[in-house]
Amino acid sequence: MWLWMLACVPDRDLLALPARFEASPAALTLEDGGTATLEQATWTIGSLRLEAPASSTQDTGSALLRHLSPISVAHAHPGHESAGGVLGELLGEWELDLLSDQDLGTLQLYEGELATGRLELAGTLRLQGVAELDGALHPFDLAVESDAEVTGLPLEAQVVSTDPPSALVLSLDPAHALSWVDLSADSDDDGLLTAADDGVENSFSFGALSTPTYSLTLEP
Amino acid sequence: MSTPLSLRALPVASVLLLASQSQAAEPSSDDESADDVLVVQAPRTRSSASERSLDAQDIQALPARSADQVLRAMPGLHQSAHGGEGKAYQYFLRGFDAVHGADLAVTLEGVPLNEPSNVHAHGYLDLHFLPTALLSGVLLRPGSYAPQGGDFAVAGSADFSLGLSQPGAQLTLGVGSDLSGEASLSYRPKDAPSGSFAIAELEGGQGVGMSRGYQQLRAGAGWEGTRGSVDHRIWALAYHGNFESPGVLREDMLAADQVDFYDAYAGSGGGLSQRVLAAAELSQSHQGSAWSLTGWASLRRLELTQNYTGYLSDAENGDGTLQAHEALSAGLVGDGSRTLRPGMVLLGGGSLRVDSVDQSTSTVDTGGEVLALQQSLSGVSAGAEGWISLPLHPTSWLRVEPSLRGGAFLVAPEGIRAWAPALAPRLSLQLFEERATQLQLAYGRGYRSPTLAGTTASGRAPMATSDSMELGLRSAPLPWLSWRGAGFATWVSDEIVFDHLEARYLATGSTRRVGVDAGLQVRPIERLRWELDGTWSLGRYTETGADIPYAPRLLLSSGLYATGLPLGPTTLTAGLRGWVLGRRPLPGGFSSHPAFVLDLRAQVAWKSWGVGLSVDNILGNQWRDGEFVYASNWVAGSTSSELPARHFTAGAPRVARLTLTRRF
Repeated sequence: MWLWMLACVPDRDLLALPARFEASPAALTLEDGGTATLEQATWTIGSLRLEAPASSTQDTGSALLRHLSPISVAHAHPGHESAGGVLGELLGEWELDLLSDQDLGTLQLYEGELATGRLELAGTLRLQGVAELDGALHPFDLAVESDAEVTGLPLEAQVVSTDPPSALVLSLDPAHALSWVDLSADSDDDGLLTAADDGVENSFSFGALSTPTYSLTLEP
Repeated sequence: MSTPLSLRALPVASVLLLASQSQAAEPSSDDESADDVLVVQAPRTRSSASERSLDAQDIQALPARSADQVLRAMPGLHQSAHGGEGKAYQYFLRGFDAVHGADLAVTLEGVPLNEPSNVHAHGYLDLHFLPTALLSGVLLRPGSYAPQGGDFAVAGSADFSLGLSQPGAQLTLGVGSDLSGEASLSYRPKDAPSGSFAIAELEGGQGVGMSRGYQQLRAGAGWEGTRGSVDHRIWALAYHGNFESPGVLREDMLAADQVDFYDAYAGSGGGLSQRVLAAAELSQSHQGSAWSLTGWASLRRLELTQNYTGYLSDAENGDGTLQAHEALSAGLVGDGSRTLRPGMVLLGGGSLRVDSVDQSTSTVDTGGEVLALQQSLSGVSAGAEGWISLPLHPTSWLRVEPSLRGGAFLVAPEGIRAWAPALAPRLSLQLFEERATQLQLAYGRGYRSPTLAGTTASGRAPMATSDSMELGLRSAPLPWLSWRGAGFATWVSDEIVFDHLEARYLATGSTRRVGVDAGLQVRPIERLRWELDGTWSLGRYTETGADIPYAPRLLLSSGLYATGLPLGPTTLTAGLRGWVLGRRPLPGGFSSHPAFVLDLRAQVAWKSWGVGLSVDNILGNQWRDGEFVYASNWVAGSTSSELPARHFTAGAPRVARLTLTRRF
């Protein structure tokens, strides 16, 4: 029996958690002191992955050398490949109404220490509404299309199967997405701020792809 | 003359020394000359307490269908056959993942069998070319304590002896429940030594489940004789094998009944393996000195198609690769001994080898059609090694054998030339070697040569080295009872893993391994023995404390063996062996399933006839011989998951094989 005890090695359970998008508020307080009201907000996202902290991977030397290797792709092979840093995954594509809650399906999540999330964007983020700055109303209709991946979304958690989280919640802060945009800079004076106005596309893209715009939470 | 154990594995002078000191030579059952009898039958010195030797009958009693499987008799060794009937096994020994032979050196009559810079894995060890009928003995050495253990002897080493035990002609025909068949024809002249033989073997089958078909053709011939006082020996072996490989299956797809346990994915792979190996040996033993010199040459061709990740990287064509490898190798190996004064013998040896290698890796689709060349490499590697050892007996109860082994390796891939030296001190202390209970302490440094693909553009050729210690006891308190026990520890300064698909070494940090190994042998009657062996080892990365993945922590085995046991007018050579594999740590904090397998091999001989029955996995357990955790995608065109998933290679299914033998 003692031999069996000595031979015991830890294992990881795979958990299945519900994942949902939590609606953003329609009324926003902007970082420059103004306010905005969203009338329409949509967003197309792709798969979400949750990753372990880099320091907890068991072959950091290997990972470093792989990174430095001129041959970037390594196919897994029995006996030669480590598990990798992804511990949780939600595969798919969703067109979200940012102003409504929405179920995203089931997240597959291994036990272990989590550090960050990685979210694929799969289409357009569109925010339409009216901003009130210094008493003046500024309608806007901003859209940015991207298939980029937003990395490093903070999610520090220790997942254990004996006390698993109840759900994963993804949310977006539209106010932060708009924080680099001068909502009064209607350069073509057409009465509507759009991505066609000078500098707006870049500043909106910057905010929309900024890590703090997104948040991930594991509910107890 | 052929001996149950290779003289190269056991330096002649060492044996002579022991014989002269202990006067414990056992009576010979052979009709060889008196000098030879003394050499062959004297008690053998061990470099460590865990060393083990098997003779031809021991091997015939093992439930082993190939020379690779004979290595299972090494204490603490586990094999994984993830590539079907034809690809080299993956070896795990005492906390090491020796991959396909990178840390396990195997020789045949002293001729090295590991393949340096093989495209699939450095030190690739494919023993399918070796007919089991020609295995007249094997010396199994866990650790790197013996001075004879050279390149790749990091976790352990083994040396096979070659010879045909049965004189006369012998025809064997067999069929198996896996729709397999085999035919073997061998011949040894009646008055000739075992090194004079001719043999041809053909076997093939469909296998159980999907993608497990194979065909193998082996042939060999040897001649052994004496002219004057010099023994001559030449032999040649040739092999051709085709095989399918079932590869891996995902656990979640098995659980969802999307695949069966012995299924295979489309394009799982297979291969072609060809090898010709020839050697010529001269040896002499005369007036307290002995020497032997063997020249050898090898032609090798290997093609492996494999896909372990499905459509993870290429959603359309799949991630299949074809690895092709051709090598021309030649070398010299020799050893000798000289009596310096009564009771003091100097031992030494050396080897030279040159390998010319041409290899490539291409992407292929699921039908095996080549899509693109990924990489190719040509080059030459060479190695020169030597060793010297001086066994001393400072007192009647102490034997001290300090040894030193050294080598220099040249690796010259295209446009690059790099050298790497190796120096390996070794020491064996044996107390009370004349008594029933002996204590033995051993230390040794092992090393693995650099590989062509691992050589950097700046000319750096990384060597892998390890330092091992073992403290063990062996005891035979009663004529029918013996046991052994040992504790061992190994330190590797920088665990270097060769990833053949990246074609480079990956340094993963320093590691340590500790463990214990024990065995019990009971012989209730002559020619019948029961064995129980157990090895526990714990291997961890020094800095992180993380487990070294894949290597088993616990390996238990037990077997009941009959070696020519008379049963009325018949004799029985048989083995019933069961083994337990404990959970193994996998990368990322995962662990594997335990396994229990029971195998049988039995041969009954009556007059000139023989009937054999072998049953793999008698209980029919669906056990996982390899388990791996990584991302894969087996549905073409679908979104690839990056979530690590459990994969397994199915262990040997229950298969029964029946053979009929006629001796002429």
